[in-house]
Amino acid sequence: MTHREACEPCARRKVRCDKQEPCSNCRRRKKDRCIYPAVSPADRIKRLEALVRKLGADPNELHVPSNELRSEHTSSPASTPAGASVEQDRQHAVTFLEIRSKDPVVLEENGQPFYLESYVQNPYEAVVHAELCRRAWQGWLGINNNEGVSEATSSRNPFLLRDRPHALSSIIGGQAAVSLLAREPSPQYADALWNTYRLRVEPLVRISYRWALDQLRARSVDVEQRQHLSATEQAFVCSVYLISVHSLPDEECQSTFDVPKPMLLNHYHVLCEEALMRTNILCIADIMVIKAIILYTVY
Amino acid sequence: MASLDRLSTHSLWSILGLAMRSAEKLGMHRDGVTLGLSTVETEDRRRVWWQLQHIDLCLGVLAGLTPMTLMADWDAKIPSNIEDDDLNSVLVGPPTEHVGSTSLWYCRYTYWVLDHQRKIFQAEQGRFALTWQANTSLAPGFRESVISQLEKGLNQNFIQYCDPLKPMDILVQLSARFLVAGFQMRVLHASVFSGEKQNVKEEHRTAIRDASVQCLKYHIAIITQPILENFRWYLRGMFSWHACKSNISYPEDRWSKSF
Repeated sequence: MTHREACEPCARRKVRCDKQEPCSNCRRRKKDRCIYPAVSPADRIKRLEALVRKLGADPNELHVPSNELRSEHTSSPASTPAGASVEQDRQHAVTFLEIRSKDPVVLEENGQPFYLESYVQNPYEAVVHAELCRRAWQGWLGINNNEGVSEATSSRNPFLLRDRPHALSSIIGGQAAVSLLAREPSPQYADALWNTYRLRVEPLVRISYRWALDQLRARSVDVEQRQHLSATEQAFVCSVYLISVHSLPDEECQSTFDVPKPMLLNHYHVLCEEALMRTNILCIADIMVIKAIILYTVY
Repeated sequence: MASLDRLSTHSLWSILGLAMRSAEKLGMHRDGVTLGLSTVETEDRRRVWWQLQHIDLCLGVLAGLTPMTLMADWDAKIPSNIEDDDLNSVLVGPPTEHVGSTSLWYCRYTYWVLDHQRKIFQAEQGRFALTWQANTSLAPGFRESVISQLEKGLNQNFIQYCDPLKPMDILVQLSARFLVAGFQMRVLHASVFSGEKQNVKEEHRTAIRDASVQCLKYHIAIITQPILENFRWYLRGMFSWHACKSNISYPEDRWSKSF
């Protein structure tokens, strides 16, 4: 079964969780128990803050220097302070020595991965601290702020969170999703193109796994299934067709497709460019688009 | 390169830059092992990252630029020498590499050459510029030692395993020899890049001519090899204009001197 949110250890470490049972990170770190929370992170924060107060400490005092954190058994800089160690939390605690502060990490935001050179040195932690202090203060004053804290705002860099349109979005991207490969090429021609790709191109390029190519091939050859290809998949498939046509000698192109090569090449060139423009080319989140650009650019 | 027939080199350079930046955003310049990713993902990222580097350098050679990323501080390893079937989603830890050739052979050879030069220049605190063969300010004998190290490494890691019955193996073997001959020729004939007319001695001239002829011979062998027919569209870009030019220009020099 796949889960929607990250498992508890991954959420604590704020790394990408593939949401399997058990997930790949937990399988790697055999100490962790890959469990999925039944309760939302917002409630968890409120309960922990209440517990902190009960133990006599002040949730406002959240800023702890990172080198102190390394020697304490806390799981993240934005959670409860070191002084009032929460016993329940210690069960699954992981020392920062395990996650050295200079280690790079791949995080996930709205299902999209992104890389950070160093997680702990993130300068925006201060903003997160301020936000949590504000909430604790409101709690103390009796102002019940029921606004849910999404997992994102409680732990992420606000500049990455901002939901702004991409640069040049008035020209690039934003078109309605449409199947560019609706009718052409015919299944027979599509099959021929994929054969050409496998024979003439992939041995030199080797950027895809054989099983991934086989899957994509099946879905793009079949007329029904190809209507459901995503924009990124379409871009990749178009680039495959483009490079395959290019790799063919003129005579073979004419005999297989009944069309002179320059004409076919031009057709797929235009198609490939259109397909690429329909992906968010200035904000690529999927490796597949990078692969499409590779095939478009070079070959 | 196909798209060069249709599109400008500089615009391709920029588009590739876009792809590189996006790859950096996804952290593909760091090895998947450092990031704690699964083996399948790690290998996929390595393959794509190194292919980007390779294309970047090729475009750089054509545009006369050295891409900045090449000498930057990144640590993605070259893809493991495995077949796709060696990987599966439950694999933990690095897969066992094959000793001989695999379907990744040609790509690995090109990436290895890149990586090797990168490492040498990083160790020397220098910068790997694509024109290092013509850089006469480098210590004497340094360029020659780079070439001999490269040749040795290629023999050890690739050529000794090449099976003449397999197309990819033949391609790697011929390409490797072609590459070394090209480097030797360019080191000998630095004036090709520097634009100065150097006083080239007679033994030098013979050496340059021999190296250029070797270059051309290997290129002809690659292009005409029937077993490599499927890749001819890609291989025709490997022609060495410098080799051709060297062969033509020297007889002229001898003529002008004797008059």
